[in-house]
Amino acid sequence: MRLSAEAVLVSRGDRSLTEGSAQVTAETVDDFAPDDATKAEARRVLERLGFTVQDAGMSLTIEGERETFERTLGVRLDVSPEAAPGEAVVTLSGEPRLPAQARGLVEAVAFGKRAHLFGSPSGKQRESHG
Amino acid sequence: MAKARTTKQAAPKVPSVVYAEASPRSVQGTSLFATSTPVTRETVRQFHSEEGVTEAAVAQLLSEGFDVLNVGDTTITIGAPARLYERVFKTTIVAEERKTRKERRRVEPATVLDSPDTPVRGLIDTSQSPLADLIEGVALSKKAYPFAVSKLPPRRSYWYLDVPADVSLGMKADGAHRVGYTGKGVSVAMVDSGWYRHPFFTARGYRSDPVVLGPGVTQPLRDEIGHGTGESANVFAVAPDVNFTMVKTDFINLTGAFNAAVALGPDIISCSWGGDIEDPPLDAADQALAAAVANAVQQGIIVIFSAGNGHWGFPGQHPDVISAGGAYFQALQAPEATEYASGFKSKVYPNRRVPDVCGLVGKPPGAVYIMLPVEPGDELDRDLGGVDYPNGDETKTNDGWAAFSGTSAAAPQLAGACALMKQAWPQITPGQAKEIMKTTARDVTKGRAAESTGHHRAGPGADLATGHGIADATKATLLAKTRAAPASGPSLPVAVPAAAPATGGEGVDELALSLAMAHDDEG
Repeated sequence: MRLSAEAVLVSRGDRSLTEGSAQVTAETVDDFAPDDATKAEARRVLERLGFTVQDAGMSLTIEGERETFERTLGVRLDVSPEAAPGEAVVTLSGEPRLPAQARGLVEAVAFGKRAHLFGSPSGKQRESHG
Repeated sequence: MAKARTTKQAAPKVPSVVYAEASPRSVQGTSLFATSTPVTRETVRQFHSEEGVTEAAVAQLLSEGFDVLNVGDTTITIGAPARLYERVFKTTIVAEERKTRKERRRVEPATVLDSPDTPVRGLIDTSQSPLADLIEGVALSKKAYPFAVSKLPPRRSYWYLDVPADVSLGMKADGAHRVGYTGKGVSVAMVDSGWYRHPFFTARGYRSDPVVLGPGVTQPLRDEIGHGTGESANVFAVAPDVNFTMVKTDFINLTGAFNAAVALGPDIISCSWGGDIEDPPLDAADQALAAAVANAVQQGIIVIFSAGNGHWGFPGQHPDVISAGGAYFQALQAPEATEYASGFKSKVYPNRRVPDVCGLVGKPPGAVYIMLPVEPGDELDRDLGGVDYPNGDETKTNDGWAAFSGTSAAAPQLAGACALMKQAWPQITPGQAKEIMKTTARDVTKGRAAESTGHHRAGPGADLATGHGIADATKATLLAKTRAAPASGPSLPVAVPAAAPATGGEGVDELALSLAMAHDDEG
């Protein structure tokens, strides 16, 4: 089963996208951006690990087999393709550990939660009003 | 072996872009097209290809001129004009009309593509091509809209809006259209569930580029949910001449899909989805999305996100986006806030008030409000069809029309308004677009926003129920025009003073606004 995630890269400065309270806006986004060399090297490493990589600007979009993710992160993944909006499709069984060659380049591999579509009939209002 | 053909009833056309699934040679040598083994979860691995074979096939397809839209485990999704397939695979592509069994046992004609050289319908033989060692066959995607789908919406007796006319009127876009601002030359990307080429679009000559596939999705011709197809009609209602591109997503890796839209280099990105985040901190995936949004805006792309339908919408609360709320309008009544739409003060971004401005959104329970084209028989068509108003839309479950709204509708309506402004002022920045939209919006002074986000009341001036009110596309466009360099865009129907400063000024703004008032029939 192929999965997709975002590889959050080490920034060129001392700010990190893994700071949950960071205010990442158009004014501050450069503080969180990786430099070109980091991005290029991270891409090479991730491709060598077996991922298909798309340069997504601030991060790298990686796609690969579930086994590739599990091998890379050292954890088992539970995948719920039918996860409801707001819920995680992929959950990790433990604390992920990036392989040595990715350290200093990749800060985190982030799996998104399924989004809500803001068109009726999928809204909260619909749910609460029946 | 000859193929059985149905009788041709018309002269169906081969579309300008033909999509197909190319099957790389599999590890076990099993052909996806010649096997008698059912392709199931249990057997699919025997059809997988070695990575090297797939990569070489992708490279060769690209070098031949095909667009590679997605690389899957078993097939590669490609797109190209028919003549390229014909040249590379030494075949011909024909369009045929066949009777197809639809839902409820209805048999309807549909247009499908075929390569007559093989006994399998829709299969292209690759043995005579330079790709023979890499690709065992190419399956043409079905171009399958039944002719029974009408370009006109069904008529129902409850109050709802049609596209394009009612939405254009409600967003006050007609005045801008009359003086030549239609979104021409402006590109709008939407990240959503896909885009189905409904006769509603083709009959009106709306322009859409081939669908771009985000991470993990396939089927560029399909919109299995219908959400993206419907919402795109809101863009065209306000800005009929935009160049539109859909980025199809599965709503899981949205940063990847959003960045696929950024990579297209559009002027505007419209997103009608999001998370429900009331309290900080953001997790890494959401911060990656926040960074992608900020990066896009820093590049000058105007980004619009829905505020949510009772959700604490994210990124709808990100400071850089135009946050799209909802207001309801009906004939002979003052517009009012709707409890279907979110309005709140963000706890994630201090001082961020949501929404900025509103589009047109229905009321609870179902916000059944705008009759929109969808793929026949898709999720929305099925869910809303056959159910009485206001819980359903009373249309059929496979007629290709569904009445829905939510702040999902507001975002593309505002995207259309931004497209008109962008045409009037090509150098407009995202911040300027937001400021003009807020300055020129029509105040909404009654009603309340969603209970789950605070049940804020609308009143005179900006508030947390509707922001600055319903966007006024004509006023916004004309104000943008006055701030632009004099040579850009169609001329206004009145002379702008030669001394008008390029960055605008109070007098010039007043001129634009007074002109816009001439189009204002409701005050």
